[in-house]
Amino acid sequence: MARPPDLIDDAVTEILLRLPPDDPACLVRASLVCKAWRELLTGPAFLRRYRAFHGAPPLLGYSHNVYDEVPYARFVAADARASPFSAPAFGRLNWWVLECRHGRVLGQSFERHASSNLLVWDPITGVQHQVPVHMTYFCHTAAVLCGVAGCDHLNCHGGPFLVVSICIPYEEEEEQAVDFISACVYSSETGAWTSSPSIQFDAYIEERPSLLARDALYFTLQQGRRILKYDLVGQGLQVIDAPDMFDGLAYGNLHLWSWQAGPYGVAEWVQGRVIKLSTLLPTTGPLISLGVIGFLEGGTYTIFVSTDVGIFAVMPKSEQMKKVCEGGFHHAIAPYMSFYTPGTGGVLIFNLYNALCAPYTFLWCCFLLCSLKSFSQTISK
Amino acid sequence: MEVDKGKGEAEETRKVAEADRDTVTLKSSDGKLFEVSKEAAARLSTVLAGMIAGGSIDDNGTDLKQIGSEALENVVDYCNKHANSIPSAALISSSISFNTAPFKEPEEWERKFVDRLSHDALFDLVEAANFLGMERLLDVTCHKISEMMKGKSPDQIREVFNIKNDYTKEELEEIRQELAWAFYDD
Repeated sequence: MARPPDLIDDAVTEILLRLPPDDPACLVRASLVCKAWRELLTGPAFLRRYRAFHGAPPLLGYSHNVYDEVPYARFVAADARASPFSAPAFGRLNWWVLECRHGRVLGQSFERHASSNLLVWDPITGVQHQVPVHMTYFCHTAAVLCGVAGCDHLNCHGGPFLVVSICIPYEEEEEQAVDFISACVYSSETGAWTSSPSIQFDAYIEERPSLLARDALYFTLQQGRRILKYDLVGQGLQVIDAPDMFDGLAYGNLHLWSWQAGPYGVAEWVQGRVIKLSTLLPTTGPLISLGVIGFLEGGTYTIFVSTDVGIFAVMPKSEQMKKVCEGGFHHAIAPYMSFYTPGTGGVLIFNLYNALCAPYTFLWCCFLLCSLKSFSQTISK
Repeated sequence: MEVDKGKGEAEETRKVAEADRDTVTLKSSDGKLFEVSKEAAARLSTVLAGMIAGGSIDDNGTDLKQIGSEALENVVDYCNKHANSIPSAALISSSISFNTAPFKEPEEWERKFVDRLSHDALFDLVEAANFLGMERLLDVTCHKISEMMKGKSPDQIREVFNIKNDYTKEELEEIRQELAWAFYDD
């Protein structure tokens, strides 16, 4: 090969900036080319530019829950050949993955009387944080998020985090009737729980990841027929009804709905596009066991759909889809998005949650969920 | 406005003639001259745009001493092709919605343009694009080189860039052990 010219530093930076974030091994290998490159690749200026250049963080892996009697990997790297992750903290059968956000994975244990039934795990640093049990509430589901106000989530690994637990008072739970529900917030900084006022509640919560949009977390209720909203600023809970869309749906379609301000400033449901899954999925047979089991916050807007032939990531904008894993009784999938770049003295990574995530994304997904559930029901009839 | 018909007339006429031209002449480090559309040059290169606006374009060939004739020919070729291509919606749209990355993938003709370049020509073009402030050309050429780095070992990357390894054997081994996962097919 002919001798290439010595490239000036600016041009080298431009080239390295374009290394794909979804293949972190590329950057690591480049950092071993020479010391100047390593210095460049581990410097904060490069990290900032790399993040800005690529916009949203890549999908590096996912956590999932599978109905299975044998142990399975709870955390799966997107590239099985080159996984930078530490050993999963949720290998045991009695752990359930709740969700991933801001570089962290949140798991819940079924052991009722353990000292901690919520575990926050950072797959890149391997650090685990056991969240102490709230003595007066039973946690139904929970969400994890970075605890730094105004953080751009450039590098919030190791920083303070919050766990929002949707819970019911123990006495209620023992009576087997859920009439009231509260949101309790755990701060890793103070190590203490605070709780918001209870609201009346007559629904059940789906065991699926929540969605953070602007300053609120959204949880799926009753197969997506209703939505539980937790306002992180006002610290209040609210149940939102989904539009009545369970009748007259075509089989195997994703129905997108959004919650938009109407002409008089009153928000209302607006029906959006309909995506025909049968034309996207690589199967000629009838689509069965359909379910929406997860979604990406920020990044390329993606919905994870479970079918009997595998789990698929569906990108509604481009109407493209990609197989994520084989079929199975998947109950939920929590995508793990993060930048992973080589760092001095070990591994320096940064994570970004795209703060511009559309506020209505979750609402859409909810309705996808109910659409699909409705299809399942149609089939079982 | 009344035109000054004094002693500066000849100079004025020359300037007007230059301003009316729709091409500019560029001179490479080895003295070769290239004509390029003024509009395309101004649109694609911040440096040339500045020179055109500032009136520092030389009718007899603006000296670009840092750029060899082969690289300059490619720059001019790119400008002409760009002027003739219909930009895709992706390139026209500058609005960044919540889920689009700032980087736009190269167009098909841009891929073909860089694919036909030799190894040296590609690297020369990166430098030329960088010198001339041609953001899009830099994007396309750097993208091509970053694609060439995919799946390559540090040794192979050094070969591509003609870089000398300044790590000691021990240093390399230590980092490799720490980041063993990144060397799955070595």
